[in-house]
Amino acid sequence: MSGYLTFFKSELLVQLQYRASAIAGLVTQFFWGMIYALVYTAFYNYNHIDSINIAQLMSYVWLNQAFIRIIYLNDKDPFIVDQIKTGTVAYELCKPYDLYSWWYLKLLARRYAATALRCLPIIIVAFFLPSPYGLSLPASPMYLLLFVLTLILGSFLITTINMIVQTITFYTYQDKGISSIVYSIGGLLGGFCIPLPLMPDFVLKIANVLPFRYIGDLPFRLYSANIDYAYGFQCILIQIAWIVVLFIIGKLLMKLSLKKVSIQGG
Amino acid sequence: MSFIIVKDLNKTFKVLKRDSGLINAMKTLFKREYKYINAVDNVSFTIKKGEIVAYIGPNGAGKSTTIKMLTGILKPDSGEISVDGFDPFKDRSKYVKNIGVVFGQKSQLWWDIPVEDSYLILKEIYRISDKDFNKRLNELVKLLDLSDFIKTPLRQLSLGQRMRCEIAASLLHNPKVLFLDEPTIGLDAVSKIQVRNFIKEINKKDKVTIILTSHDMSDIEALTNRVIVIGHGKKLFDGTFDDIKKKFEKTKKVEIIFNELDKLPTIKKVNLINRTSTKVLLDLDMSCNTVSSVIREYSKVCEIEDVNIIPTDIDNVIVNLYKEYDL
Amino acid sequence: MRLFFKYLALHLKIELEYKSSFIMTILAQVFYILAELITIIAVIAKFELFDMYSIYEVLFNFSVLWFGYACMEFIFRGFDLFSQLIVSGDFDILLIRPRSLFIQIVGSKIGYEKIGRLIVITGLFIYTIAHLITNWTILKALLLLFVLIGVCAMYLAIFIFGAALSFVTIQGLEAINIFSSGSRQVGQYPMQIYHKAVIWVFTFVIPLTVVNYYPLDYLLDRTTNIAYVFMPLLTFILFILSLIAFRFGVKKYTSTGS
Repeated sequence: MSGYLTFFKSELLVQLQYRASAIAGLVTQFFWGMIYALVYTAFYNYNHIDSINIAQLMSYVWLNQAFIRIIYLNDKDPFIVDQIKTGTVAYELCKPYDLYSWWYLKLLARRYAATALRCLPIIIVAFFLPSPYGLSLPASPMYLLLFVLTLILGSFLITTINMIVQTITFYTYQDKGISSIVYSIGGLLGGFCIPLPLMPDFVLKIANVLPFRYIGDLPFRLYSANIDYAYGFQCILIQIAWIVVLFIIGKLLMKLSLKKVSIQGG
Repeated sequence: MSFIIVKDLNKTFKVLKRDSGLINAMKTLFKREYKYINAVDNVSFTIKKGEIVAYIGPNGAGKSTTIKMLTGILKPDSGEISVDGFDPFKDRSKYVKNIGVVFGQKSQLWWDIPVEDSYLILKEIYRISDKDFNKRLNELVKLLDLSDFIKTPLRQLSLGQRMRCEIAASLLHNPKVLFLDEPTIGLDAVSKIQVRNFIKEINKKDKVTIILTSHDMSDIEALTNRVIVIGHGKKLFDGTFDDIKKKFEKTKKVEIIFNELDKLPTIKKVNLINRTSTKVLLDLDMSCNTVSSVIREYSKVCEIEDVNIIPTDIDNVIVNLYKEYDL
Repeated sequence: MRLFFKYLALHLKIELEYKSSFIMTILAQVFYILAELITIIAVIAKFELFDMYSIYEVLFNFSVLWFGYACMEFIFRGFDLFSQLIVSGDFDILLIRPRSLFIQIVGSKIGYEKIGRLIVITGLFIYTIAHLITNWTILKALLLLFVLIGVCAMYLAIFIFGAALSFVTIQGLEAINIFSSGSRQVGQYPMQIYHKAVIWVFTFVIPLTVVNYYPLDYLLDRTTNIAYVFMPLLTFILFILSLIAFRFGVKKYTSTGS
C-alpha cells in the first residue's frame, strides 16, 4: 500500500513538471466537450429521443471529458512495454514482488495522477456553462455516490484489460496490432466515441455482453439517473464480475508468459 | 594553414529553474524562474587538416554544444567558425556534405532493416554515384570487417558491431571532417580497440580531420596527442597529452630494484608504498622531487639494479586537472 | 522524388518485419472507420434527420474528411509524429544531412497502416459521388478534384502546425487533436444542422466548410456561383501559414537547441 502511495506521488510529480502538458490537457478536454456539446445540441434542436434527454447527455459528455484519464482505454506504461520488447523485463523477475500487482498499481497510479490535475477545472467550468450546454447537478446524493463508486470500479476494470493487452505483448513483441483491435472495439462499444444511448439497439445488445460499457458509460449515466437504481445495481454486479474474471485471466496469462520468458532466458 | 578556425565562440542558454518537492513543483506550475548558462564562453582554437583532436571536459562542460555549432545544428550567439571555408550554420546545406557525424547514443541507421539497406538510403540522401558508392562501401566493409553482418537488421547486432556500422555510415560520402561523439561508449575491450584502430587508419589513409569527444581517456591517449579541455564553457587547456601530464601529474610511482639495502634514505615527500628485501615501491610528490634526484639518493646507499617508472593512470591526471579548475 | 520512393520502399520493408501486427493494425483501422460510419448513420436515423438531407450527403462529408485525413496520415505521418524526432534527438541527424528537412521528415515515417482505411474510403467516395451527382459538368469534376486537394492541404497544415508546436513544447501536443479529429467530428454530420457561429468558426479558424459544406451546394445545384468551384483551394492559406510557423520553429531550435 505504501508502495502505491509512493508511486502515486511520483507520478503526480512527473505530471506537475509539465505545466504545458497539464494546461494543454485541460484545454483539449474542454474543447472536446464543447465540440460534442455543439454537435449533440444541434440534433436536439430538431428532434428528441427517448433513450436520453439533452441534460443527461450533456452531463455524460462533460463527465467523460473530466474523467477521461481515469477511464481512458489505451493506457500503457511506455516503460513497461519497452522492457517487454527489449527483454530487460527479465530483471524485473528477480525483484521480490508480484509483477502483476506491481504493474497494475503502476498503471492505476498513472490514471489517478493524470486525472487529479484535470478533472476539477473542467467540472467547474462545465457547471457554469449556459443551459443546455453545461453539466447538471447529480440526480441525487445517492446517484452521486453510485457514480463515484462505479467510476472507481471502472478504473479497476480498464486496468485489468490493459494488463491483459500488455501481457499479450509478451507473445507478439509488438503492442500495436492487438491493442488497436481491442481498443477500437472498446472505444465504440464503451461509449467513448459516441454516447451509447445514441446508438441503435443492436449495437447496445452487443455492448451489453462486453466489458467496455461498464468502464465509463455506467457511471456517467448513473450520475444523471439515466440508469435507475434497480438496473444500476444489476450493472454494478456485472461490473464487479468482469473485474474478477479479467483479473484472473490476466494473472494466468502473466504466469504463462513469465514461464516463456524464463525458458527463453529473457 | 588552418582547416578549422573557431574564434571567440559564445553560446548562452536560458534554462528553467526547478526545485524538488511537490510544493515547489506546484509553484513552477504558475511561476517560472529562469537562469542563464554560458554553455560556450569565448572559445577559440584552430585545427589543421588531417589532425585528430580530442575535445574533453566533464558532463555539461559545453562539449556537445560546441560540436553542435561545428556541425551547423546550432547557431552561435557570437564568434566565428570556419571549416574548410564554410560557415557551418549559414552554409549548412552545402557544408554538411563535407562532414560525417557519429553520435554515440543516437543511431543514423534504421533499426529494423539490414544495415546494407540503410546504406542504400544514405547513398540516395548524399547523392553518391553508383561507382563511388560501391567502391567506398567495399573499402569500408573490408576495413571495418562488416561483411558478416551487413545483411542483418541493426536490432540484432551487438553494440560493437553497431558502432562499426555507424562509423561506416558516416564515412560513405567521403567527408573531409569526421565528428565522433563518444564513439566507444558501452563497448567491450576488443570492440574498443577495433574502433580505435579503424579511426587511426581512416585518418591516415584519407587525411580525414577528426574531432572526437570521449570520457574514456585511454581512447584519447591511443588516438591523438592534441587535447582541448573545456570546463564551464571556457577553454582551459589546449596542447599535447604530455603537456597535460607534465602539468597535472602530481605524483609518480617508481619501483627501484637493488641487491641489498640496510637503511632507506630519507627524502622529503616520498612515500614508501611497499618494501621487500630487493625492491621498494615509491610514490614521489613531483612538486619537490624528480625521478633522477630520488635515484641519486638511493644510489648513495645501495647498488641499483633496475628502475621501473610505473605509467600513471591517465584518468587520475585528468581528475587532477578537473580539480585544479574546480570542475 | 527518387528519395521519396526509396523511403516508401524502406518503410514497407520495416512494416513487413512485423507482418502479423501490421495486418492486425490495418484490419483494426478498417473496422474502426466502418464502425464510425455505421454509428453516424445510426445517430442520424435515431434523430430522424434523413428527411432533411440524403444519405449520400452524409457519405460525402464523411468520405471527403476521412480521405484527406487518411491520405495525409499515409504520406505525411512523419509530420504527425514529428515530436518523437525532437524527443529522441534524431532531428539533429536530419540537420546534418544535405537534403531538405521537408523530404527527410516525410521519410522518417510512412503510415502504411492507414492504407486499408484509404482504400475503403476511396471506394466509398467514388460510390458516393456516383449517386450524389446526377448531371455532371466539367466544373463539377474540377470542384471534386479541388475538394480532395483542399482537404489534404487542410490536414497537412494541421500536422505541420503540430510539428511546429513541438519545437516550443512537446507536452501539449494532444491539443492539436482538437483541430484534426475535432473538425472531423463536427464535419462528418451535415453542417446545416449547426448554429451560424459554429459554421463561422469552422470556416475562419479551420477551413472545414470550404471543403465539405459549400461544395455540396454547388454539386447539388443549389447555387451556380462559379466562385464555389475554387473555394476548396482556400485551405492553402492555412497550409502556407503552417509552413511559416514551422520555419520559425526550426529557427528557434537552431538557436536554443531544445
